Amino acid sequence: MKNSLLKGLLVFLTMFFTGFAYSQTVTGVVSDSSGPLAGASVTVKGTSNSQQTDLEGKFTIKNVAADAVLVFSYIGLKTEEVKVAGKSTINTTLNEDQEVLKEVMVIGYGSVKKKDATGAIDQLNSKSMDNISATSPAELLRGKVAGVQVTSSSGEPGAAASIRIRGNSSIRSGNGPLIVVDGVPLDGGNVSSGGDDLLGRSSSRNPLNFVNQNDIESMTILKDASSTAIYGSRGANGVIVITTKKGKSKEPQLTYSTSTQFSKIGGDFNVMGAQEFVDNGGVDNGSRVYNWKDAVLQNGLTTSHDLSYSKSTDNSSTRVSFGANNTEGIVKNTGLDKYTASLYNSNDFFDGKLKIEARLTYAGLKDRATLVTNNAGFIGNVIGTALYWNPTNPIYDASPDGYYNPGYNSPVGAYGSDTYLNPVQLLDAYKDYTNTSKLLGSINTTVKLTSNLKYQFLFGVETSNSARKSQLLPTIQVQGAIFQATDPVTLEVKRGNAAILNESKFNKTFEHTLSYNKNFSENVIFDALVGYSYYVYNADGNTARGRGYDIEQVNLVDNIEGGLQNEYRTTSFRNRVELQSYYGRTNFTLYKKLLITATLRADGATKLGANNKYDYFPSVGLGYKVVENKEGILNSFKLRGSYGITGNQEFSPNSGLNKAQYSLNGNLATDTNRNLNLKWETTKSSGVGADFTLLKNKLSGSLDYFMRDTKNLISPVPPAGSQPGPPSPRFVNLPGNLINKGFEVSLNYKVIDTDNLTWDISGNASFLTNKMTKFAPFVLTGELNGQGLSNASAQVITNNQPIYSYYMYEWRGFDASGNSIYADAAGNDTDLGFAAKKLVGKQPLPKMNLGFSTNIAYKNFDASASFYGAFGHYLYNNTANAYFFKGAFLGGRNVPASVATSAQAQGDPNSPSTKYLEKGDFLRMGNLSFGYTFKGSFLDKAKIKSARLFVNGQNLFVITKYSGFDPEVDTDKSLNGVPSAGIDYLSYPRSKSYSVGLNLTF
Amino acid sequence: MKRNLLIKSILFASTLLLSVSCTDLKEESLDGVIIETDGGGTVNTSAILQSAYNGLREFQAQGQMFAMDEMSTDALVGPTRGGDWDDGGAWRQLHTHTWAPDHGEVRGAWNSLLSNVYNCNLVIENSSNASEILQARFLRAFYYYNVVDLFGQAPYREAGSELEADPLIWTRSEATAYVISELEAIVGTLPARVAGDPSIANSDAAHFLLAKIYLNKGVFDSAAPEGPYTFDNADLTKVVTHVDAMSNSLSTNYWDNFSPSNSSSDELVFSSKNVAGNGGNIQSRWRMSSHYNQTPGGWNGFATVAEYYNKFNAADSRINNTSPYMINNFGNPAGFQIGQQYAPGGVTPLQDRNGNALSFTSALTIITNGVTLETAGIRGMKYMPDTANLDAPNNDYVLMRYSDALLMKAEAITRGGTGAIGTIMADIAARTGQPAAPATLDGIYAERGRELWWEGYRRNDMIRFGTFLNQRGLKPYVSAAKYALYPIPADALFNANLSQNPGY
Repeated sequence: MKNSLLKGLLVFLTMFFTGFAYSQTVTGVVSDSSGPLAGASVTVKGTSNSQQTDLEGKFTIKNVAADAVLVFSYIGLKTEEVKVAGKSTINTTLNEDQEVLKEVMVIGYGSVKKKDATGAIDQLNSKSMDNISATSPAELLRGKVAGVQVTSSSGEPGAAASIRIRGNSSIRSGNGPLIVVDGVPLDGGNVSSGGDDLLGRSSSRNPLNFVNQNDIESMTILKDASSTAIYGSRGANGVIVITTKKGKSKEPQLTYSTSTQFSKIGGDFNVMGAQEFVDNGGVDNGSRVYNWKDAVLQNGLTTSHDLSYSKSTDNSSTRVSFGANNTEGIVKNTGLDKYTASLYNSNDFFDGKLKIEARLTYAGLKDRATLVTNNAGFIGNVIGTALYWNPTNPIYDASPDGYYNPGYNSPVGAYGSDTYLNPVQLLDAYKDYTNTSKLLGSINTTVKLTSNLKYQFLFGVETSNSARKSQLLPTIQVQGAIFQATDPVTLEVKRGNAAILNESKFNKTFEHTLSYNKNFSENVIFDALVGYSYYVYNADGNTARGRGYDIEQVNLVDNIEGGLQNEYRTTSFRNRVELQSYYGRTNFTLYKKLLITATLRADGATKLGANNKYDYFPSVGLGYKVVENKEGILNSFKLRGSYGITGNQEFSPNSGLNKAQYSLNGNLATDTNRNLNLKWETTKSSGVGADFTLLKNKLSGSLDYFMRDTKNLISPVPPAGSQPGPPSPRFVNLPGNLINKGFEVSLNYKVIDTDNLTWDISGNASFLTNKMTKFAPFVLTGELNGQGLSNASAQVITNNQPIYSYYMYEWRGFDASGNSIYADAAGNDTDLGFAAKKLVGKQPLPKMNLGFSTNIAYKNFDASASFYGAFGHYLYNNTANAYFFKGAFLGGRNVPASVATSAQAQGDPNSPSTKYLEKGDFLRMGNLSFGYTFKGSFLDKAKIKSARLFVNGQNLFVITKYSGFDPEVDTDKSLNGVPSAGIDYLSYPRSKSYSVGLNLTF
Repeated sequence: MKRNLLIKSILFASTLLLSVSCTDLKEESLDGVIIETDGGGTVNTSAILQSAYNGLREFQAQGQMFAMDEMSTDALVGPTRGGDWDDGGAWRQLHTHTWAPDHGEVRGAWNSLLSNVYNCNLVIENSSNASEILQARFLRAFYYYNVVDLFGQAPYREAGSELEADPLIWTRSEATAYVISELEAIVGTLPARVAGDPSIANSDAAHFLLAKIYLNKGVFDSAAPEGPYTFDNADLTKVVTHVDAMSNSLSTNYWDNFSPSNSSSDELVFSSKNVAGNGGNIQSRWRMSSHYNQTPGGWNGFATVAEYYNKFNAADSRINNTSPYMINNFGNPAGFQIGQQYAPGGVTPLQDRNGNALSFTSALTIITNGVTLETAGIRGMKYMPDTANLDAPNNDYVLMRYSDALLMKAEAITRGGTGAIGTIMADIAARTGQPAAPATLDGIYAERGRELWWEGYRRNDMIRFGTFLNQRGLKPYVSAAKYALYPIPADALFNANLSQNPGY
């Protein structure tokens, strides 16, 4: 009885408590490391009782049993289970799940959860970046994101890289994406001066060089109009939003990373060695020691050190970092030293109603360059002279002083002349360095006006100063009017050149935004943003050039006044561009399924013609979540569609004005060709896509199809069309359409995912076609340079063809006497006299880009490998065209053995033709890394939280049939301001490299 | 309801923002001046006029007008020499009459001539200085004369028209009439030639240009540019009148007109000014032809053909200046160079880069080959290099010369104009050591070929005498009629009012 009483009581109590439990309500706040987390789900384990957190991370869940377990989950973060144990308030913080792609993506003027995005957006986080010592963050994107192609112009440290998002939308320069760093849109221009140097034109530097990759938290790539239209007139080429790191951990954290990288040349041109040169009939001048690689190349070495400190509290966060990166390039006298410092600080005031974030990034760069010009003529540049130098020529003469051969004591020596330069002498006679300092600072003030309404003011300043100094010693004799000067009194001919180029930029950004969000009900979630922005971009600079120095002077450029007085020249310039914008965006989420994003931006700029200062850029994006968070095979599936109009404004200032400039002695000449009607070039983009996760969330990916139609093509119309008029091109909106269509797929598969062993594979591919339509002009581009190649060009932009289509003679081999056979206009064999240029049906832009990578981690070991490639395109080998033909060899210049032994006649001209057009397909192993993370008590003794040692190799191999240094090349061969693609000319060779490094966290 | 209010307030806020404009986005030019009268700028016409004068320097380079005027004829050829001088076929096309509207030198000439017309327009429309306007009108007429001669039709803008509007077009005879009316309006008020500086617009130059245009009026007015032409005796008589009105005289030494101090020659009517260290690219006149190993070193390019060289007696001083200045400083004569070439001093024989004797041959193919790869072709040196400054010499570039005027007068009379030839033919021959040419059309044509070699008038002469399209040495066929005019450059057709010349 007692027993049954007890049982009865238990039953009662159980019932009582159960009944009581059903009425319990739990509230709390869910956060992640950066604060309250909206949209996290809170579920009573084993039931369907589930709630989502609101915008402040708060949740209230009813009917929770006292012994129940609450499951807090949020995609991208580790799921937490918390026992209720009678508590009515549970606050929890979810930690990042490193194995799941982070779901919140930073976009223009805000952020979005990946599952709610309507646009084609990809985000690369610091964790998924290759552990490479990239001098520019652009390299980190290579092969990682579908639809993004990164091509370095050459292998030079700090060389410009062209970044193309969904192809080229403009026939003019300005195909690069807008880059936004922490909300500040960067000026599209080059940081340091490229432009003319002493022996020709050198390529510009990468504008992203100033960012330290270790300071980057994430890079978001906005690919379609739905996501880029908020940037209006600057969104047509896509947008890269870079977010730098903040202080996250509450514990003070100190990290130190270091690495050392060794590099050497990757590919080769295979010109002959001295003995081979003689064996094949080359003129033998006796020496056997010359080798072009030893003459001008060296082993590259890069060392880098990075130190960062961060700490955060509930209402403040601070991070400080320093970086030093010193690179010796693989060509002698080249390198890049980069020093960076960054500071982030944020503070909340008035209970979080006011938040002030301040950021400061400084970079000091020192570029050392040698003469690697991109438009060298017959005389060549350092690479060209090294390749063509007769390898049996002694570099030094027999005199006891060991002068160069030909030195200034034997100006036209037996082994060279003022048009046949000694490569070592040229290397030693030339000096070129650029000091650039760049500062990016911003203050972002956020005021919470109500719980739904927020005002933000961002003020940003971007300044850069670059000073380039270059000189050519008077001891080297080079033919050409610019290399000599006559003393007006003594009539003595003097040599030596020096040039100083200073360029500074000062840009300001003002952005006011007002944002509002509200859940009207769980079926109607709304947010909106309106804003006003004003940007001003100032550029100014000056140059000084001297000529005719004393033969003994060596520090020409640091004592530039030493030259002939009548040869000293200075120039200066200044310009300013202002932009003013109004914009708005709304997002609706209806019934948790349908997502709608609409944006509109009105942009005005000083650069446009007086009659068309403003234009409007609208977009709309739709998403529909067909399946979300399901168990089983298909876990989630979302369809996306977007349509919008974006613009492109990369063209020279003062294009809408008729401007004249004074030149020497008060001569006034017009230098712009006014167009008051100039308006924005616009790109209409539409796209559909799908995001999915399959197989218990192991396989995730997305598919996209897009079409972009650019019209009102801003193009520099050659001055011939407006004559009599100013002698400069006129920027006009040409009739015609540039159509880009493409398909992109990206996949990630977690093969193994256990505590000790993880292995995942990811890959992406994009397929792209582009074509001009309804376009009347025939615009030549792809300037070729070299011996006998004046006025020559290789590419054309014309109707019904891809842009930069190759246009040249079709080469068919040699006739019996060694003269080239070409096709005539009717397609029959003919000689050079009747050869007809034609569209050869080949293009320099890849039709397919591919990237894949894999990561494995087993206990303390980790390994990763990544590959990328490009396919379906052709490269034009201007180097071979200019230097490698029989006449050059018989004239005493070095060439590859195949050219020396070819059937070509000595007098057969090296006319540009399909002979020099080569398949550009390649597949490269971009990166291979192995790492080991140390754990154990010895670390604790040293107060080290974690330590990782890694080794890695970059560009370990490349599979290609291209005969030049490297198939990934894009020498700037623009003609009259129209860019080119896929032309290789005496470019800086690419290296393969190995590095070892250590990361420590204290 | 509440939502409505919210949307309304957001719309209101946006409207407010949109209506407040912080900047009017008016563009400034910070490092230049705006030179449109409606754009808030003023025009410094004296400085623009200087640019219009400097535009004449474009005649000094080896391409553009010079190449179009000479390389398309029997006087000059730019052969391809192995890896040198292929240049996309540009030079071969000129000599063999196979050029097309995309030819770079043709486009360059169009831009150069017409952008200087624009500079002249700026001066004429904005200057308040009568002398500046006179000079600009003369220069504009000279540039337009060249457009008419080379391209036929000519684009123009009416004073004060918007730059955005496509220029209007004159036919060849409209443009000719315009240039004549301009020159006749100013010839009486242009200043007299300044002794020692023929580079300033002067009345002699206007008379010369009027004579040139009246002599060619039969060509310029012809419905068929390739001929046949009929010459009006009244026009030919005007040629005589204008030549008679000139104040120049022949120099005693032919080479005084081409020496570094040639600006002091009274024979020069109009020139493009160079002063040592500052000037045009007249160095191309020796570099374009000389071999690399000669002094001054050259680019081993252009040559003349045997049939043209054979029109001269080898002793003709016009092609054989063996003065000590030439031999001591450069080793070889000015004029045409054939056979073995020497180092300065004239004693040490030179070699080419392949180790062969540097001996120029009269045998020449348009693509050279074999042992004469570098040496084929007779070279020319029209100007005496300036020892003081080989790159930027002191020699003025001759645009108009009095002996040309005298030969025009003789030709006009021979064709039916009223006047007396007198001793013109003997005067021309006197300083050459050669017998005078007969005062017949054939004789005058031959003498023009010798007297004015490589001076930029050969094409004009050959067309007027009907020989331009004929078969000849390195062009072994009769050219199609369209080659009597150059094509309008392909780029120029962005101007919707322009149509391509017939046949292109």
